[in-house]
Amino acid sequence: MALFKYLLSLEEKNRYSFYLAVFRIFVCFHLIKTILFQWAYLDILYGANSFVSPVPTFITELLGIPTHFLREHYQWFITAYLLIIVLYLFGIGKHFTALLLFLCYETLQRMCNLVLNGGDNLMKFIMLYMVFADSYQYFSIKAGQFRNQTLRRLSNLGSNLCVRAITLHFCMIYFWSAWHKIHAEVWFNGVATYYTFSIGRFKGTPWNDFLARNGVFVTISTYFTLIVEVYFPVLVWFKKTRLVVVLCGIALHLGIYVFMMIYGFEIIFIMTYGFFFKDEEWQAFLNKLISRINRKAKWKLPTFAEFHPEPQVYAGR
Amino acid sequence: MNILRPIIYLAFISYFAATFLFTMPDNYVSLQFYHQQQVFQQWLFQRWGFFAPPPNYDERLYYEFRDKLTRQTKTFEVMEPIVTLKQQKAPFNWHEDIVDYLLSGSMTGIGDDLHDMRQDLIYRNKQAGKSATDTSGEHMLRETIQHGISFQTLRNYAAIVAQKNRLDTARHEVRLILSHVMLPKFADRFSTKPRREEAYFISDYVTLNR
Repeated sequence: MALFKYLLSLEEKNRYSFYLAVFRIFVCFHLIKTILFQWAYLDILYGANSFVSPVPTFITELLGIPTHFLREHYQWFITAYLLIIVLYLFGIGKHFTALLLFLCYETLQRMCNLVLNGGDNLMKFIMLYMVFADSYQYFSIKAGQFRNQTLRRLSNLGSNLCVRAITLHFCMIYFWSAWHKIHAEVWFNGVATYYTFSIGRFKGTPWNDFLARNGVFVTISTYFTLIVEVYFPVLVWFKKTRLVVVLCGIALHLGIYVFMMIYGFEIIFIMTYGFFFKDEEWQAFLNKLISRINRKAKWKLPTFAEFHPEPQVYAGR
Repeated sequence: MNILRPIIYLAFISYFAATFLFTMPDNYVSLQFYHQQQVFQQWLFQRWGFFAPPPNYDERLYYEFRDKLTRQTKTFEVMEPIVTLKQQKAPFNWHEDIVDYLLSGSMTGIGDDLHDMRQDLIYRNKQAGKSATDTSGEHMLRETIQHGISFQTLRNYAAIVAQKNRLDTARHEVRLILSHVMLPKFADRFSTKPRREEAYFISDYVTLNR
């Protein structure tokens, strides 16, 4: 009975409208940044004359578009992709644009999967789930709510289930990652970070060698990584431990960012932590931060509740 | 809503049950659904075993160019300079990062394929009552790898390396040597011995033209 009441409550309100919008903006800027960084090498990565041997894109083939055609006209594809990102950034086209963006992103990944990492893999799933979410209540040209009760309840349910899907998938990633790690001798015996810090490809700083040779650092960092990955999927669901375990996760990913030169992956994982906090928690945190800034800098920044106007209610489609 | 609600929740639960099942390590239960897992991974590929275990080596990729007429060879190693530049330019190293991922990803693909095919060969030889792999088996492995996508990518990159070093691509053929420079074990981390290098794949000489 309590479960049924809880499930019904998911239809009452979109509990993550703020962070869904924030993440939508982040996705757009992340994708644009990736294309900009790859700009000089787009021909190598996606062109027909690249030294990278092509693989079928699968999705476009299902739609009757051969892969070689896509590669020969990759500039048009990239242009369309950027246009869709901009539309998504402003919330134009809403769920349809989100779906198009997911399909383009999936196609781009298949056109060159060699440059992908776990962050890109997670991003793909988040974008798939966000097709069902109303992430347009903030930071979009036209936020709105359905007047039709069924559509409104469906929209709220879709949004809340989208976030639940993201958080569940995220916890599953940590769980299986920890499962695989524990199975490996170097993690079990507390020496894994010696290897991760020493591999040339991932040696991000001149201090890596020094740190890798320090037995205490290696042991602590190895077990810290394991403990975070093992306990995150459990402790993140409890209010008392959520913030602590999220902060530990941020520390872990920032460490990997600095010491292992893995950039996009870590930012995506850190940004995903925001989905574990509801709108009210974000509102309280932002209001606290804004009040502190107003007090220290003697500014008059509006607080979160004042800033956001009520969304327009429009007729259900 | 009363009709949609159970459909939505059933779809949600089924999707996550499938995701959980098809991302777990191979076990008796998951292997019963091997074909379904292949279909699932084809549509929604995901692999979450990060650095488990981490590599215990640095990769080296040697291109050995041989003049078709004079038989003189020139060898160039490409991974170490890329990695060095990547470290020096961090975090503004996206060019080196892209090339590193392209080459390293291809080398890893070859290594994984070799490992899987060798395991299969050993199993088949055992079934046939043979105690060791023979040269025909190794030749078949090499041929299979050389027709694969990963090898084609590395071979195509050879033309770029040749051009950078002012070698005539029409006059030269190339052989790829993939090796691992092993990291010393943790217990030997202060050792000053030179690191051991092991070649795990040496190709035939192939032309530089695609």
